Amino acid sequence: MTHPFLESTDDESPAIELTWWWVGPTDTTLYHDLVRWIASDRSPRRAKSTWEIIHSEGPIPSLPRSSGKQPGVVIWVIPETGIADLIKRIGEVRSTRPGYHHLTAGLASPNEQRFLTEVGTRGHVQHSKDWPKIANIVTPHPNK
Amino acid sequence: MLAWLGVDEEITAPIAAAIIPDPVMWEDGATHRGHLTRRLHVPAAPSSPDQTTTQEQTRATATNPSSPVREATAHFVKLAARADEETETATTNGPLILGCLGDFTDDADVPWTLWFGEQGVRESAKLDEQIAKFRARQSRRANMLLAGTSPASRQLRSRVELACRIRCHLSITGPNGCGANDLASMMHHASSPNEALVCLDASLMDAELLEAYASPVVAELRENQHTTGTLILDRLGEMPTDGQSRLREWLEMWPARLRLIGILDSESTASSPLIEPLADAMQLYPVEIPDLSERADDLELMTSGLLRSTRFSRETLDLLRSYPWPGQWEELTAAIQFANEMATGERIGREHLPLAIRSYRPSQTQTALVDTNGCQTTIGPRPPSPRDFKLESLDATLAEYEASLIARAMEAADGNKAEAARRLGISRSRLLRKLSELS
Repeated sequence: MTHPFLESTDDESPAIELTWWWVGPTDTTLYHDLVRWIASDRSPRRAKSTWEIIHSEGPIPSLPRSSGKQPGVVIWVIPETGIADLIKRIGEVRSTRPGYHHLTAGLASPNEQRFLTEVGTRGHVQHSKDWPKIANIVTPHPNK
Repeated sequence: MLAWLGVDEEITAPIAAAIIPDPVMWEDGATHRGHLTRRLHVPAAPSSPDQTTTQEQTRATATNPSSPVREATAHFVKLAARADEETETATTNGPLILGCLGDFTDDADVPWTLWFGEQGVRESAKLDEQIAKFRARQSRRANMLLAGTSPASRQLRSRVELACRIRCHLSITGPNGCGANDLASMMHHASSPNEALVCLDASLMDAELLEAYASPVVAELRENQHTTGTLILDRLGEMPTDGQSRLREWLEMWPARLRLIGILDSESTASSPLIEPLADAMQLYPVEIPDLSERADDLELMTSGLLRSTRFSRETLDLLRSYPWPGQWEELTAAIQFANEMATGERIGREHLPLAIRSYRPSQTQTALVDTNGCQTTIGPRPPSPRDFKLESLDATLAEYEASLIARAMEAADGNKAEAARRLGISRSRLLRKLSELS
């Protein structure tokens, strides 16, 4: 299922420049604030570019092999029951589908955040207002 | 909650807003797990020897903004409903928020059974198990990267073995995808087991982001005088300068307690070098991972180790040896995993490898001509063949040729531009335009 938050008004649909995969429930403040942030003029999305968010139905997103151009972004929602299973799933996806940026979102203790960086996630969003912090992660840093 | 925080009286609104957990934790009515950490500035130790309460300190900050400040942590936990029933404070109907100010609560100190019930304890144990499995897999991959009998492998292995026994700043240099991350984690866990670790992509870390993402290690260093921590910083050479400055502050603050493991890309084109203390730290114990193409003789051992079997056919092994591996270790491990999944029979053949590898043909051209005439052998440059034709850039070559023709025409015409234009077969104005472009 694709979120229609940025539907094109042109006759021809523009190419999708960045795809996000959201793994977890979407009826959360975190998700809605992510959509709001991307749609706002404070996000790194250029005004004329189109990004899409694909909701993963299962616990593991079905990612295509990375083309190597603009890496997709996978956001894993921290389950309320703990991150043990999440770590396993992230490890599997990273080994079978390399080339994606992996982020986590939700409440995680400092100890859990350490483990998540160890398994290869590039950033963690603890709270909705932290979304702007990942701007540099999903798009190249301007200083580079 | 304020009583639990040790605050008895009313506090100023800005401080209250800073230490009260965000409403997102309870607004949707669902039970949440996890902790929410807030940092706020409170004054440094008061000049009077009397004990000063946190509340008084925060007031002092509000009234005197110029006073020296230090950071403290307000740490909150929202309890699930079931846990509420078990606690003494189960009188409230809504979710219960607990917090502590000034102390960092490590997960090991969280009373899991009391706060999260039996399920919480099981989850905690499961997490430990998964992390142990992940680290074991990572360590096994790193050991496979070190496998081999070539001089390059022996040298790398001896450097890594020593790094596993000492705790100091390390730098790992190698081409992109060379497996430095696995190696860095292995060296950290071997040299400093149980020490807090955060792995970051340094190229993305400006000062603000670094402060946020390194906080699981840095917060402990700030609040506990005896803890140590390690940051593994991938692509350190491309780190923004303000992020480097923040790292320098931390290194100066905790020279012995904070350890850096920097991963540097040997093919990086980063123009600015690392700032002074970081560069020094990275030169302390450098480990260089050689290019995989230099270790062709080790590939058989590596692939057998990755697969835990010797199922590769001779032809496949020859191909693996001749392939240049531009993606380095990561490309090799991905290719082996792919081939293992594709192969259904006993042997793994050429056809099971990824297309880019199985279609690779090593260049047959020789760089020198060996001519044997009777008892005399001459080795010299090979005569050019039509197959050798290659230009760096057609436009650049044409421009260069055009410039040489114009120079010859000008020389032949003794500098007379009208005559030179006639000799070139172009108009004088066109020649003048071209001379202007050349100058």
